[in-house]
Amino acid sequence: MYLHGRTEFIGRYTLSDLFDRTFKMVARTWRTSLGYSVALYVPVSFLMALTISHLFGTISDLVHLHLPEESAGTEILIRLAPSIGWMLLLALVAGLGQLFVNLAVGHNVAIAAGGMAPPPAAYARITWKRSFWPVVLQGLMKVAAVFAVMVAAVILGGIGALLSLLGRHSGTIMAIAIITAYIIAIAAILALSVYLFFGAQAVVFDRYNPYDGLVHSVRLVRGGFWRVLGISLLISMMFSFAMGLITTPIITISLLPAISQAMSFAADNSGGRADASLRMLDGFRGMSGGIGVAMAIQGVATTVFYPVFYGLFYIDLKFRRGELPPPLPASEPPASEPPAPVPPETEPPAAGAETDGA
Amino acid sequence: MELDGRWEGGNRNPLTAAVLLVIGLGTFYFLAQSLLLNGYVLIDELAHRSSMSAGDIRSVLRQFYSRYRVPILVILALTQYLLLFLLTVISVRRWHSRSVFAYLGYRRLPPGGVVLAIAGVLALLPSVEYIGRLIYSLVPGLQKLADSSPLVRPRSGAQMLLVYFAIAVTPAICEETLFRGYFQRTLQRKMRAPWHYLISGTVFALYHQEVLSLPSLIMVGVYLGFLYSRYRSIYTTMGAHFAYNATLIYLSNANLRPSPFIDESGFTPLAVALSAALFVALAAAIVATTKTGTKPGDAQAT
Repeated sequence: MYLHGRTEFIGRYTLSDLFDRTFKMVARTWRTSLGYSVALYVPVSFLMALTISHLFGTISDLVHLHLPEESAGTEILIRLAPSIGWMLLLALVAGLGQLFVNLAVGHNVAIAAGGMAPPPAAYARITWKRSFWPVVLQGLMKVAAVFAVMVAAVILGGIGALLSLLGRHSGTIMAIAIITAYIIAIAAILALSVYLFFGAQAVVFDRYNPYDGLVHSVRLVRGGFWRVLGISLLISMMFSFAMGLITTPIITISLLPAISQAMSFAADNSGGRADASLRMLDGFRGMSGGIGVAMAIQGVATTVFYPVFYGLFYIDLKFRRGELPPPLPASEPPASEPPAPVPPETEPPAAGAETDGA
Repeated sequence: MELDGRWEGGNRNPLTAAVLLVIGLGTFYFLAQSLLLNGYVLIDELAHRSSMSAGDIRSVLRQFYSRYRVPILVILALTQYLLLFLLTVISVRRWHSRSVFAYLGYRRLPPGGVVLAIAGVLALLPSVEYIGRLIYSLVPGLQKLADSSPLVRPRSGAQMLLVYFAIAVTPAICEETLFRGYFQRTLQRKMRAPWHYLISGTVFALYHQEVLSLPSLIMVGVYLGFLYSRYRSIYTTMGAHFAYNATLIYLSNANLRPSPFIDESGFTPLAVALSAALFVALAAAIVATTKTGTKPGDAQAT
């Protein structure tokens, strides 16, 4: 409901356009992305680094203790449980926080693409009021859909296995049935994830409810499945490579003491195994700082880039479906609406009222 | 030179194209290299049931490189020519200009410039080697490995030729075409010196994925970018890149007698100090004998 203006961001994009507009949009959204993601990732990464360091410290202590074999399992579990529990909690906070920040940036993209410019602080309120919980609910629906596919695959494999017991080459047929069910499940989960990919954008940009957002995503992707899949794969590979260039040196530097120890042992073949393990564990404790910094950089970069890219991809798909007005003629200046603190409240379209053109 | 490629229409930013191509080519370059090399090693190991004997890691590395030196070098050269060079040329033609080689800076070999550029990089080498050695000395375990890496120490003359071709000639052509000819050239259209060559030099260093050599590689990359910025001809940077890599290969294989300039561990502090002073003088000579560095928008004017 934000995209009623006619700006340079509304149109049919080639892949080059999509990248080019992404970089141009980042110039408008970076304050929101950076502000929100730094507020999230700096404390979370710091706490995660402390937890990892504590975890390796505990493991090192356990090796030093030479626990008796009969009680070692329980003792290890009791000592490691707090660190592991804390890590899981932090991962949950980071996951939900990342969703919130991405949605806030998504609102910024939608509002900027519609020709408006409220201050960055407004996006947190808009996200909390309109899209956070619906998208969380939508995520649960996606998980349920994937789970249903897996259950169906297990049933399919089971039926194949049962039928194979009736035949002479039961082992071979059973293996083929299970492998077939497994391949079908993977293909179905991949297809589901592509078709449901733009559900969150539908909630953010057009204020659909969670279920209608998923239906709308399927409608947008239909007919362009391979394009969406190809571009998504390409972008994730390129992003991973770019992040690797930056974060690998950081992690490697933090790992150097452990690597050096390992290489010394490997080069000289000296020292006992327990001694080597202890020194390696101490070295790994130093890695936690590097992991924390790398995690923060990766999180911030992800927030700066991904919500913008997929927000514009959503606009492109909507445009291809005829849901948006034609682009600006080259001579016409961009829409110059007065900055609005909060975008206008309008009702989402009924899910069935969309055009379904090629 | 006319900027008539697809990217040039529609008010698109050339910097986006530069970043995209460098990241995109890097993704496919490392992926292809890794798949080809690991695939070859896997098939070979399966076919010959691993003839490498167990031992300490240095002897395992020596066995690995002596067995796979040729495929490693062939795959390295092949992926550089096909992915870094050829795809860069094709992309420039489609995105920017039909005058591909003019865009990339393949023009007017300045003989005096090439001599100064090569002298400069050779003067830089002792400082680069010394800094690298200092960093490695902080991590003794890795230094032992680095000292025993035999990739560039082949036993036969034919393999030595292959080493020079794959490690000195090929990167001088392919990496220079991508990093200076395309990446820096495109950055120059929107950025002022020294930013374009600082960025291209740093990205060039990061591409090598050698963490301990990163400061040394940044120094070399920035110097090559500086040369390209001053001379606007890729031949100067190709000459300097070739001379740098070829000298490193030569030094790895040479049995140099100890002298006031070199000992068993490498260049002496005296050699480093003298060569650093020479480098500063050569850089000043390059600045004095060339025009002012490029300004944003120069690409359209050439």
